[in-house]
Amino acid sequence: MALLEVKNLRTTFKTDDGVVNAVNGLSYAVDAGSTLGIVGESGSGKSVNALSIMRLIPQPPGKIEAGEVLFKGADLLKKSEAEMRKIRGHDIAMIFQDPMTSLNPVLTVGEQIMEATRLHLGLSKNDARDRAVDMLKLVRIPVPERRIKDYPHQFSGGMRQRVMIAMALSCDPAVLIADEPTTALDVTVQAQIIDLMNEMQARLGSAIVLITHDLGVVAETCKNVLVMYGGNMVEYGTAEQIFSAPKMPYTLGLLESLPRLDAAGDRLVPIPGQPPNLLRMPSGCAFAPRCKYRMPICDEPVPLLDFGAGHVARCFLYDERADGQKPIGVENAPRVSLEAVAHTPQELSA
Amino acid sequence: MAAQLEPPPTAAANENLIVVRDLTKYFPIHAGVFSRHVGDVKAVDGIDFEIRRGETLGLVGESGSGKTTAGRVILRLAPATRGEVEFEGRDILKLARNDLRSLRKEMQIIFQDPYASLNPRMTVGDIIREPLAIHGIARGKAAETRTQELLSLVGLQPYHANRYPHEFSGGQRQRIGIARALAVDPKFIVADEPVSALDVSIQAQVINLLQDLQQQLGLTYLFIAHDLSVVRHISNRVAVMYVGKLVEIAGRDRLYDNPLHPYTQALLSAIPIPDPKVEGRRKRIILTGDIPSPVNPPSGCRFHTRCPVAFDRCKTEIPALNEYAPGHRAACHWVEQNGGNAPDLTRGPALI
Repeated sequence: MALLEVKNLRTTFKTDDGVVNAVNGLSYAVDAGSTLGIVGESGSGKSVNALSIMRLIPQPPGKIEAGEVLFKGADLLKKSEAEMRKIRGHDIAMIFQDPMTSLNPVLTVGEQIMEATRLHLGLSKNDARDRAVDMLKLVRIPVPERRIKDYPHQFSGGMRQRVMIAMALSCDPAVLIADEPTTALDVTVQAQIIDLMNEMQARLGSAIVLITHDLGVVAETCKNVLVMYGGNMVEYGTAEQIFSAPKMPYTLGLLESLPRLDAAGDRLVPIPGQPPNLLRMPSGCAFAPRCKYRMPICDEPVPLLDFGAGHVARCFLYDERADGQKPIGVENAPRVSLEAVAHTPQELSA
Repeated sequence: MAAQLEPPPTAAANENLIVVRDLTKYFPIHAGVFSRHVGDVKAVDGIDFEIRRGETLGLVGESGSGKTTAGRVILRLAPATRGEVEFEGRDILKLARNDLRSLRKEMQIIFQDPYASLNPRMTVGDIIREPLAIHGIARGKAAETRTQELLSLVGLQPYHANRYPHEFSGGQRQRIGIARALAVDPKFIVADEPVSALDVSIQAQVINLLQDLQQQLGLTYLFIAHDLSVVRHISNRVAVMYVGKLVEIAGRDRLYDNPLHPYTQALLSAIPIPDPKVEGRRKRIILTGDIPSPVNPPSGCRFHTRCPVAFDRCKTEIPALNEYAPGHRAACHWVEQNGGNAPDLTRGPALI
């Protein structure tokens, strides 16, 4: 059984202009000791998904409309707020994107780390202080005995992020949700932080959900990858499958639009158009308006197709219902012209 | 190693549009009741480089390395403490205030944050027309035509002129910022992290646009960024800064394939590559510690506190920016003492 399982999660926000389906029927699972990368653009629902798991969605305007979040088999969405408070920070911890706004500026970092361990692990004040020093040492903050008395503003950006990680890991969480943990940081610091998270995982066997828009970081750390677009999963597979044989044109587009350090191409291939407006979502595939392989059938609800070995994608290109249809945007293109299509579901079953 | 062929600059080769000499910018720190001058933030501390006509020079470094300050001082958006910036042969740091306006017509900037750099109370048309009016380039009907021209040049629609910035997404706002910069028909543009705030799928659109415009209009760019993959993609040459100093400058391929300075090596190895197979094979150099404060930068070579191959001389003597191959300069004592070879940092600390 997976350690954390999200089933059909649907989270909405009420706005003046209407109801936004920020996460719309998302399902996935993470095993202990493995890392799941969730990639997507701003507005794809990746952070709302994380906040929904933690039950940190501001209500109103937000609302978790439907679905289940199973942690060790128990549905977190059915727990009382008191029960949830015991789980947050203890069993499931979260690292937020912006360390400056997520640390309390009027408490020392020591007090903030100690608060969690005293509350969840019932440590005495002295034990909690020792633990805080140990944790800061672990994240390689120099002279931790002295630094626990410092306030967040006395740390650099990279160090603050390391303090956040120390805090998140202080209760040995079974699941760590890291929402863009390195986005605000320089590459050299990013390398340090990723190194640290991998080390922690090896030691504790935690499951990590890494939310990021940086495909490089995903390739480096994640076993499995989930690609989100317009509030839902559009592709899921192992890092190997996603990077070497992407199925969904959006995933392919993301990979193509990236300048790479190891292969300086002449021209980037951007994805045309803009990310979807969540208030006016297309009836079928959310990516269809930007997709060069768009077909008439793409306006219908898109099925999730299985490519074997756990690789799934939400795209009509591989569905037999689209047989005989031609992509609208590309003249004379075969229905399936993606280089990556080595096996369609039909071929697989044959 | 075989000689590397550099990508030919688009316009006349080797003609310098901008020459920067000993450029220095200190921000004074005042403290106490009498606001006594107690120290300086040495944001840029004596850098030298040149930008050739028609090329893109990438300027990279971590936050706090002084790259943005360097860009602003070159444009005279901030006064320099010391040094010279020669633009087409004249030192623009010596220009009188009155002459600055004509300078602004030649040099423009594209800002990082497309949300903060456009006035929310002005329509897109007003934003683009403003520089036309200020510089007396076009008025009335002519300004209208020019605005439409600029909008189509950056891939926006004519009707967008009547809209307000909040109606646009990040990528489109960056296009508006580019149109505004191009309105005065400049020769030189400082692009300060122009794509860092954008989503990956949009980033590529803006990068391609910048490249197309450079070709069409013969622009020269100083491209400031911390994303080294983007810099490699767009630049002809790349300069690396660390705590206010230039540590290495070379042609793009040469810098990425054969970095000399240990800091450049570490910076390059820290970037994750979006391919799990490559990532599995790669050896990484992980630097310890944080970037030092520019208020009290380390003595000697500023990188010696984090450098795996630092030795005594690095702590006392500031290394000179020596040329080790045509166009490839680096400031490192180790490289100098080892005949222009780079230290191999992937094999653990090297000994001297």
